[in-house]
Amino acid sequence: MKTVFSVDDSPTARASVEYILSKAGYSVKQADDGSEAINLLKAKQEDVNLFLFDINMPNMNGIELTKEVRKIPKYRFTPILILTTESQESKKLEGKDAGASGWIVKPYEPDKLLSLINKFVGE
Amino acid sequence: MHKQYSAKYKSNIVTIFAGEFHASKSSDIFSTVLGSCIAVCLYDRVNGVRGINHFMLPFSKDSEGKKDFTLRNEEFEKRDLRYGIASMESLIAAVQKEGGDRRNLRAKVFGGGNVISGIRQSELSVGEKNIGFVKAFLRSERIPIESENVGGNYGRKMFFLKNNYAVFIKKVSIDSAVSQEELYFKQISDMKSNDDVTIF
Repeated sequence: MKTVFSVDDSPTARASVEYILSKAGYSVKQADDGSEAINLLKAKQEDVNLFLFDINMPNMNGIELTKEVRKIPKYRFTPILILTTESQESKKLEGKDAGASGWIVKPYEPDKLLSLINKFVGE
Repeated sequence: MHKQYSAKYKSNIVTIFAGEFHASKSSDIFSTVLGSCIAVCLYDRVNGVRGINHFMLPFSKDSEGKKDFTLRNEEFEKRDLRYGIASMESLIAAVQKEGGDRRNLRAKVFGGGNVISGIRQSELSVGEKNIGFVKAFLRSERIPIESENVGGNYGRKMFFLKNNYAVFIKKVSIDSAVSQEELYFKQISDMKSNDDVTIF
């Protein structure tokens, strides 16, 4: 089973992602802000097939988190998708420069989210 | 969104319309007119940030009649639901971007009036469903509701002040709120998927 690590400070957004992905056969791990996520990743080095990060989060935002995750050798090439209400091109460029693999603007269609994730990690 | 100085209130008044949201640290008065729509006033007293949104949540036919709406169920698959969630998420993100801290957020909830005429009668009790949704959402987000003025058979014109984060409500004829909402209903029904996917 493929694992998606979702980081979002919104419980509703996390629940939404968990519902959609678990129904599609993914295992979903979660954290509610960037610093919690990076601590977990550094400590456990668990297998993750794809990351989904929100941008606006307390303590460590999604862009900073992306940069930190890329510093961990194990996750250097793991796809990172940014899932956010932000849609400015300048923000997207920041995400790209930080090492993100893709960007999805909320609100999103569950099918499109799944299709993109499958594109990156599907069989 | 419309911003205009009011000599009467000696302040700028930022008026938002259905489908919009706004947040700032300014002392402007935020205003909107509600029928069955909902406006959430969200604020962080510690950091002096306020925001407001105005959304209409059309539910799927499958969920008609369900008053105990829960966010953790098949409703996530219903495309219609996303407008309410998107509006709330955008509002929270906007308040955070202005310097608000999620842990300090408090909410006041308004609207959800029961409109008798036209599309509302045939559609459902939109107001009740909106109220159910927004309360479930705020509970899920652990954002306390400090006050509310919802339901009833009237529209509301509301003013959200920086001073003490007070909200003043003026009851208005439901008809005066209807025209804006009908326009919004049309926008929703005409709305195409706004998915924006970028692969780097």
